[in-house]
Amino acid sequence: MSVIVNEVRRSTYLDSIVLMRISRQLAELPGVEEAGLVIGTPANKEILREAHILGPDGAKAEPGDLIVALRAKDSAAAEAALAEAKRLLEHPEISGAPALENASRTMRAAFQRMPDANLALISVPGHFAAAEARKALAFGLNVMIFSDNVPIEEEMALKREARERGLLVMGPDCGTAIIGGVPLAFANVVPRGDIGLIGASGTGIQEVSCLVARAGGGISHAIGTGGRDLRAEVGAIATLMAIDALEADAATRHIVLISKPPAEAVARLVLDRVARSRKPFTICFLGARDLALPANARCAATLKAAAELAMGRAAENGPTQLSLLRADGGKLVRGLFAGGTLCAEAQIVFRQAGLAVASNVPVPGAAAIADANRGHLMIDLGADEFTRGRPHPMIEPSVRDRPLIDALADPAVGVILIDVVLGYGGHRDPAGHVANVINSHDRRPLILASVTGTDRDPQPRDAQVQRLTEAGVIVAESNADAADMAIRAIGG
Amino acid sequence: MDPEQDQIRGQPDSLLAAPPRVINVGLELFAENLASQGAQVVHVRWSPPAGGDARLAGLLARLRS
Amino acid sequence: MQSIDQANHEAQRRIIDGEPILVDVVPASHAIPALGDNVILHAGPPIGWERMCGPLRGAVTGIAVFEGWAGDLDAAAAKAAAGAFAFHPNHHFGAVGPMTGMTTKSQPLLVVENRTFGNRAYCAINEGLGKVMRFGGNDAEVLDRLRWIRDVLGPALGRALRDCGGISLKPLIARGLTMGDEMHQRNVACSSLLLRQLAPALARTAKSNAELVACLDFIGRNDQFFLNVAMAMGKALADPARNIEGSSVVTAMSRNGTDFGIRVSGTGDRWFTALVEMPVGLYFPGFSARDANPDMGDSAIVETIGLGGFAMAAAPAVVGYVGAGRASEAAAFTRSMAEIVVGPNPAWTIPAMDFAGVPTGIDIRLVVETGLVPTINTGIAHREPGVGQVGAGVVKAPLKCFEEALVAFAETMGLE
Repeated sequence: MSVIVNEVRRSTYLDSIVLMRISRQLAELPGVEEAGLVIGTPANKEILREAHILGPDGAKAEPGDLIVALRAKDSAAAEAALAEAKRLLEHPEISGAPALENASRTMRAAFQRMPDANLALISVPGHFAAAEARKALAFGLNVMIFSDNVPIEEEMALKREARERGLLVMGPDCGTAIIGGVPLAFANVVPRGDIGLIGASGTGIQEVSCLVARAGGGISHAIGTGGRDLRAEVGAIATLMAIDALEADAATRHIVLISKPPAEAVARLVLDRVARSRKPFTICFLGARDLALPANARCAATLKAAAELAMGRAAENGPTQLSLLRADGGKLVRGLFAGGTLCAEAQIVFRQAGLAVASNVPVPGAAAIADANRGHLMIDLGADEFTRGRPHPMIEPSVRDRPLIDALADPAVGVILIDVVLGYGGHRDPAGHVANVINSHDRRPLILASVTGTDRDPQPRDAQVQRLTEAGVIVAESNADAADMAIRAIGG
Repeated sequence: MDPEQDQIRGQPDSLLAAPPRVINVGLELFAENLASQGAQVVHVRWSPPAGGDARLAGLLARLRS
Repeated sequence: MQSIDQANHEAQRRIIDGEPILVDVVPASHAIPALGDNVILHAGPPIGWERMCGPLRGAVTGIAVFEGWAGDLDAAAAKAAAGAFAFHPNHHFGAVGPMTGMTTKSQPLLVVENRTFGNRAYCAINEGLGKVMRFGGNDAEVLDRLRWIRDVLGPALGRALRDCGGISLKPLIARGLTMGDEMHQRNVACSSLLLRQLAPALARTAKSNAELVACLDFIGRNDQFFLNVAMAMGKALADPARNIEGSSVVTAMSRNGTDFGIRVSGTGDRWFTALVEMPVGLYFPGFSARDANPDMGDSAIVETIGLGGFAMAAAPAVVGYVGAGRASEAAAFTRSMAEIVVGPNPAWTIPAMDFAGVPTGIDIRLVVETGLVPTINTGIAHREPGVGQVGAGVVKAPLKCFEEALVAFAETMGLE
């Protein structure tokens, strides 16, 4: 008879990734069926309850506490696991890298240790992120806010205050930046060059920067603005400041803007600023084809086209590789994406080809999933409904396993589309993980993938591509190409 | 907030002039990655102010200066 | 009105700018006129007989006999229980005392004068190691030693200090920090430096050679002799930082074996108390945590000014001795304390930390924000009176003191 044990550590906080690592280590101990270490918020307790590992002690925990929860086959295994948890929690140096040996407990102390710091990277829970950002601004630091779930009013106030001080706020919900050649948060290792990126989307920046790199070009800087910067309320503050900064940056020759299509008024605001620039721009408002652009700007409807235009090439329609692939059996395409912008781009490619498509995050012209009949589906597995209390698929690829296994077994599915995103912050072997899932299941659908990355990433791209190819996956040159190949494969 | 340190130091122009010198607040993973690339980073092992006690945290916020 | 940060900088600056001189030794009643018969000053925040722990009761009864206010220990205890003694904190009368911290009219007190601000602070002379009153010892041997200190050592030290014009303590501390002292659990270097400076004056002013020998021998055999000097110095340096409007800097930390108390500049003389915690440390052979008394003494004034546990990085040997970890972890304690203070003291630097100054000026806002409480190095007394020291360790100031102080401070600032 399984036993559930909980141990509550008062006033203890550790970041979510550290807790996940420890949970995983505990779950692998003999006799342990399930383990979870979470901060004692109501939402997290619910997760433990659903996993059948919440006990009475854990239920009483407060939001400032840490709950160690596990289910084991008997008390001996449970006790051993708790002892191991204690050991891991009390010796953080086990996971520590040199940067962390002398970690500070406050931004204040960190700033005393590095008085010439110029950027704060903030990834605390959203509820607290604005206060930390405000502290950083007071210290004269630019800020990158990785955290999401920050109220939009806070974003507006922060960006206005930062603008007064001549400081840049990237975010909230800014997952990617590359500043001075240094990848920040989730970003790829790309050569330095003369193309500057400004993106409201992290994976959008990742895809464009990697395509530029593989085409022989380089990136001067990639500035993330956060997903809401181009909303009317925020008024493109970060975007406009980023344009100013890249305008002034001698190393930047060409500037690419990447985002979802903004509202008319904000688009005007941004494009007016673009018009006043001396430098050429590529404007990628995903999906938008017919924009009224100033003379120094060209329009790219896809990320792939944006990279091509930035490199001074004509944007091509259709995939770079000739594809004779055809799907057997099923006629439907099922896209399972970790990157939200890649999911959007795939939908756009389908819409441009005149095909109906549904998604949990539909682009204009696509249907919401609830409405759709059984048709082509593009799922963004990183969307809120999937990530509440669970890790993002870019960090933890197993989030995609169940939908992938279902798609492999679904006779109506002819083509599966997946994105594999490399770079810092990502999983150490996403291709290997996907290959393992595919190899352990019979499948009939054609599997098409794109691999966003470079050979200088922590997961070198060539090896990742090879892993996928060995598992029978066809790897396209870009996410847009993969979507195109999918269309042709089903005879569209 | 140090009364002596109120000059603006981090204009976006100067942000782009050289590799950034980062104070990382939150996920250790980001600090580890920056350190492994040889970037300048100090990690802040953050935890909720006042151990999550909302009343004390509220007082602290108002006693900030 | 200045901001809290400005007020705190003022408080820290006053601590740092102090110029402490050990100038004299005088009978307590001369230094503190309120010390008449039956008045007993003790360590820590205010406390009554009913709540006093074993060692403190032992010391009270012992000092009552010493001063002739009771015929024997039992009579003294009865008198105390009947409310015949007036108990007050040392801190209320410009004094401090280690462990039980007994201060009464006829004991000789070290006098430290802060030349920058003109204020003075007092502390009794350290009795030595072993069975002593500061650990609750109260038998004939203890009382005899106190008599000798009153009649011989105290006056001898007073003559010597007056003769040499006083001993400047700031540079002596600076030297001690480079020699492995942190001035709470480890004072051997400072004790040696002090004796070296005092010896000629002691010799010049000694009444007899035998007396000189006895004094030199007594001081020379006590590695912790300087502790009481450091404590008086601590109070002399911290007192000018009291009562600064809008300052959240701690001006005193103190324990009586039952309660831990702090005072904060902007809230004046209010004590914010919580039950003391148990020290965690290493025990002398034959003793264990079961024998330990809860935390005691005014000696946390040393941490209040940036020494002791705050300067642990200067004394790596202490870390292992007090069971706080490996010597290589000493710097981590100091770095941790640096997170909760206004800033470093440039006059007192630690070579092993690239000459970083000791962290000075505890800010209650930072303590509550981070949950990092001051770490105090301390001796551990036996819980039974009269047994003495059984170990040494580190103890944490209770967070509750700082949380309550923060709420009260917020009220003085017009919030809540």
